Amino acid sequence: MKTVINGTGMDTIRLWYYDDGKVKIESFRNMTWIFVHGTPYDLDFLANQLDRVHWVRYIRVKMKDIYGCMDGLRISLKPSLIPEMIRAIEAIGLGRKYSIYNGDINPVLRFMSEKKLQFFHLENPADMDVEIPWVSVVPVYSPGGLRHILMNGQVKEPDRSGLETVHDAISNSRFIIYGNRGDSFTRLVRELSDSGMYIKGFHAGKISVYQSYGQVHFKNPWISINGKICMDMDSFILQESGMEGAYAMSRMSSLPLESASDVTPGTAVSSMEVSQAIGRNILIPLYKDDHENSRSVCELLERDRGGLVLQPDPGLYLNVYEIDFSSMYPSIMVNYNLSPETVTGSKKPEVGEFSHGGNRGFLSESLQNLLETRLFYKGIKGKNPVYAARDTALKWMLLTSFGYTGYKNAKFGKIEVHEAITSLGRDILARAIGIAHRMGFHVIHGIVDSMWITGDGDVETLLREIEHETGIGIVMDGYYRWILFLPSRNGTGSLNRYMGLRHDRTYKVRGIELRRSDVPQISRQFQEDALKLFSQCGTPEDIYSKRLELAELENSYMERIRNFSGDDIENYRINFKITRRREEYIVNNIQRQALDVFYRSGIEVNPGERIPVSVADRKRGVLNMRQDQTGIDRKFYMKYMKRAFECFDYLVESASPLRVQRDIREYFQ
Amino acid sequence: MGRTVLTARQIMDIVEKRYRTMERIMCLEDIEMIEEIIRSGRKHSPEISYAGGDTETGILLLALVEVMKRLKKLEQANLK
Repeated sequence: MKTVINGTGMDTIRLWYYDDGKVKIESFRNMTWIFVHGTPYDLDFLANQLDRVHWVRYIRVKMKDIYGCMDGLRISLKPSLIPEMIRAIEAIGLGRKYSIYNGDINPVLRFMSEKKLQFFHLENPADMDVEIPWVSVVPVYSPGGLRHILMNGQVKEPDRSGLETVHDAISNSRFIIYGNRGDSFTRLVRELSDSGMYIKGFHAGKISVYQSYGQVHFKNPWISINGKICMDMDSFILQESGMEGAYAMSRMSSLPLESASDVTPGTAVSSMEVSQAIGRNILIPLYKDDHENSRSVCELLERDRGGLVLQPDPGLYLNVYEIDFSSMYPSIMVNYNLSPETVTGSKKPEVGEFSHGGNRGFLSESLQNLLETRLFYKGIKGKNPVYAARDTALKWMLLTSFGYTGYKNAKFGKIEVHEAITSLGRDILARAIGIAHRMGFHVIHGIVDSMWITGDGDVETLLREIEHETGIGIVMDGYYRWILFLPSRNGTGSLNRYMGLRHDRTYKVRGIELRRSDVPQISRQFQEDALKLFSQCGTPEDIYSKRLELAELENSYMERIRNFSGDDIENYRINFKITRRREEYIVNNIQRQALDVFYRSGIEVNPGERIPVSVADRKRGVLNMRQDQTGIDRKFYMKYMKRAFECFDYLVESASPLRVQRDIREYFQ
Repeated sequence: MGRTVLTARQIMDIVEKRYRTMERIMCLEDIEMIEEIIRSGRKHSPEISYAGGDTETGILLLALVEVMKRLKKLEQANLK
């Protein structure tokens, strides 16, 4: 079957059709338009000016944005001329007289949406995607130069024949997945060119470093080769959900695959909204001007709050249910009809006032299809890993759809919508807690959209009751034989550090070393072994009976560090994240010391990158950066190990008959 | 990140820091008490956060709840 897999161009759109293993490209002439709104006098003035320009045509029409209809000029022109036209209109209107719409939309996305086309279209959501023959090329460099190239998982030596094979593969394939850590792919292409093997139409971007949610991130330079689809193997969506996830994101967002794999899920969901607006003839503002409404400090204090997070009492709990609202925030947006044009005035939305029909808001209606598709894949994800991948990709889009409502530049965002969502989220969780108490359950912990409860009530009835009262779907995510909530340093329960053994003998762990990327592998190995040790334990007595075996295990790991042998060095490497430039580090910590080593070798390391380091002498700042360097600081690693032991020691301590077990019912009285 | 207002937990950290200064001239016995009151406040931070309003009053009110719970327990023990 013929499937659109890619689109390029601006004034001429080229669509790539994939049919029976072959790619066919069709070209379409592309004319587009922008809409300008202003006072009748200003519009007449603009029309007079436009009459003198021979390459544009315009008509006076009434069109609508999400808030309602307006009069204006619809100016038809080639997409490549839009920026010039916008500059001219802004100059004529002194930057304030005209509101411009549909002026900065990706031409391919606009073309696809106007023609009601879809990338990687599926007749039925359960259908499989087309099978595209991707070629993966990952050059591996060491300080000495090109070590080898991984091509489709096979090692190619950096000799003439190996390089020729790689060159032929890149030249002959239309679909390339590249690895470009440290600009390695660009270096490889340069080396190929130097050896006379030129790659036509090769372009590379620049390294980018950015901050998101307080963390520094690093992005590899993008690569583009004319006539090919190139995807970075480190792109967020490929890492999270693989190729099927990237296809799903392209399908939903109307962005070409290359762009869909390069952008964040937030941009993808924003593109999806733009695409829906085009499909429904709703104007999209070039510059958003529906700013935050003015309000009193008291109102700000009341409304500017996030999700509700309970405070667990640290300790061991038995027979615990974890119940989870399915896509809570997007469901609130859809079921409670929250959109910039529907959230007005000071009326606070109330739990239970949900509606599925009537006058739907733009945002609410746009997200409905995404939400329903995601819930469909969530329901069948166990059947096929392809569905699981699609579910993950759509889950990320839904997650960011909420965050985007609070982003000042989001085309259809509004902070009041963001606040209404979190307010309803808090009230819905509070209502669910009340229902659980009423039905004989005790709530141990709750984080925004999930709760851990224990008790003798009927959990199925509870779920039905919560769904009935709140209008948001809720499911049981796990039933634990036991779950341990770990304490934080100040003695209260940690909000997001726990480990629990489900009745099907699988674990759920959060916040412990096993889940962290900045600890040595040996710490993670210990915790994996310790979890295995307790995997058959159903009662506190069983757990406590394993205390000697746990002590033996801990000793064996300490012994392993004491008797360290060079072959084991990989298990001691820690992936330190570089958070700033070398000269910006004030403290001489391990990161700074590692950067010094790289600096002396002439290698540039950017903030956001991770560097694997093992520590040979912490006090003197001796680090092992190369593979042939062995030797560790035993004291340093023992400290890491002790931290990994802590949660398991606490597990045994909590299960001890000597310890006065906290009666949870008493606590909640 | 978009948030303008501190969360109840963040305010609690500030309150705690402020009262730590007080501890420098307090007797050991009282320090233990004040730490317990702060712990009780922390334990109830979700309730304070959910209700909104003044966090410091919330801490005091919910610390009192903890005291009342203990009093009730003692009364019940005496009755037995």
